[in-house]
Amino acid sequence: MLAMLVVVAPASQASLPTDIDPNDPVFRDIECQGKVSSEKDPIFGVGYGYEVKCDKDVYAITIMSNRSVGSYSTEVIGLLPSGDPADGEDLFCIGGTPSNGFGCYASPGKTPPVKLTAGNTVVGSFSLFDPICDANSQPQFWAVAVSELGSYNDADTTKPPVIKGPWSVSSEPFPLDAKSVRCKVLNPKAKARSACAKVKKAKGRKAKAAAVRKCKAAQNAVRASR
Amino acid sequence: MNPKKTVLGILIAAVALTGLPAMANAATITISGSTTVAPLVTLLAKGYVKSSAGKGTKFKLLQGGSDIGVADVARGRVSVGMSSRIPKPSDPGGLVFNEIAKDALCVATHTSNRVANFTQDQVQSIFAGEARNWSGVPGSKKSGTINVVIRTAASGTQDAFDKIFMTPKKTFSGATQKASNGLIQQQLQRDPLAIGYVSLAFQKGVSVSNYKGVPCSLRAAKSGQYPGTRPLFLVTRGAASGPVSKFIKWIRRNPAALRIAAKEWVPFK
Repeated sequence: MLAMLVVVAPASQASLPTDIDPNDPVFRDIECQGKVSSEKDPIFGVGYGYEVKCDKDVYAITIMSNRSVGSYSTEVIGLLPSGDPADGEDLFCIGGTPSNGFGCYASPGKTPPVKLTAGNTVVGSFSLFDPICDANSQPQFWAVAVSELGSYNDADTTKPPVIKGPWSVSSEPFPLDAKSVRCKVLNPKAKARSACAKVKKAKGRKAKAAAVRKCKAAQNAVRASR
Repeated sequence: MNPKKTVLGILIAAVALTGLPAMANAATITISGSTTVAPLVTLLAKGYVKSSAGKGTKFKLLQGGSDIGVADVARGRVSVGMSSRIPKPSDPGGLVFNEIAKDALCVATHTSNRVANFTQDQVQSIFAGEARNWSGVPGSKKSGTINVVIRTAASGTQDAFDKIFMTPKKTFSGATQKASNGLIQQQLQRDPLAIGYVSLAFQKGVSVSNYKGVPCSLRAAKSGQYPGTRPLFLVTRGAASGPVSKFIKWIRRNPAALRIAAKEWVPFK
């Protein structure tokens, strides 16, 4: 079987061709992190902002969610660690509506290729199709990045390893920190309907009062979730 | 035969059959083109799918610039092209430009270089490369070479800027060309000596100047006072038909669609 191994272990250096630098970032797997937060946007109204940063150069990035995305900013920019816009690091976003996400690309066909430099943060915004808490699970968001990864083939031990790549590869989905948009109450409308339906059924003054209290609390939760 | 299995089979068949008309009605509208029109279209698409008229419709949005949108729809690669420019004589025949809203083009600079107003002569002189130093621009406190930032040739925004602001002059060849509103905005945010133009929706972090004494604002654009407005189009091959026609009619007539457009654009009248 053909073995395609990423160069990571210093022990394998001895068998590497001299022109391979195992510390070259191209041989390292990508790591990304980021967050989603709610923001008031002049265009989206109640919208959500996202920030994603990776430790390698990125040619495209996909934002996915377990919620249905209604619309998204179609041009997003890369920011330097200082917070200033990075020169020329502008991504175009495309995708379906409604769908569970969208992709942003940085014109890899251009020379030099447009990309988001390692350590810079891509910042954009989107809105959801339905209120974020109208579901039975907490909102989750992920980012998948497209970067380059080099590998080498050392399956045939009688020959020197062969360098392969770098390849354009997509990363694993990295979960984005969505703590700030967590729902206190999930599916508040359904819960309010159920709580308020109990008011009619309640027998006795005390039971009725308790049911009304619960109904009002559930309705407040609906208002708070908007 | 197991009666339970028979009932289950009938139920599955019934569900499958009732599902068929829904699938047949589900339309996917593919759209490519202008980066200026794209933010408006994502919002309109969301509103449309939520409305009773567009229930079940799906949208697929691509970008690329007005010329790409026009070429894509002419070749049948997408159902609708987005264009922020009026038709060109060089466009393929048989295309229909359906206006959906208007947008304003704002002349903008870095926030440290606020210029209250530009006359048309000043704009033409700067963007034609005749005035090259900020020290010669009334209202600017800067000195140094003016970095003129414009859009690439495929852009409808560039075409509109040439027609509205520059005629009969031409933007000069030494200007830096950017592929999108966002890139110009970004350049203006970081370069104190830059000047460019952006759509109304891309004003964040830049200083927008009055043009011919009128502020480049949504209010002035809606009232018709601002002279730098241009129409935005959804382009179809022939007259729009089927789901695309329904979508365009909804954008032009439905109060919810007009409210969406009114957020950052001048709605269709």
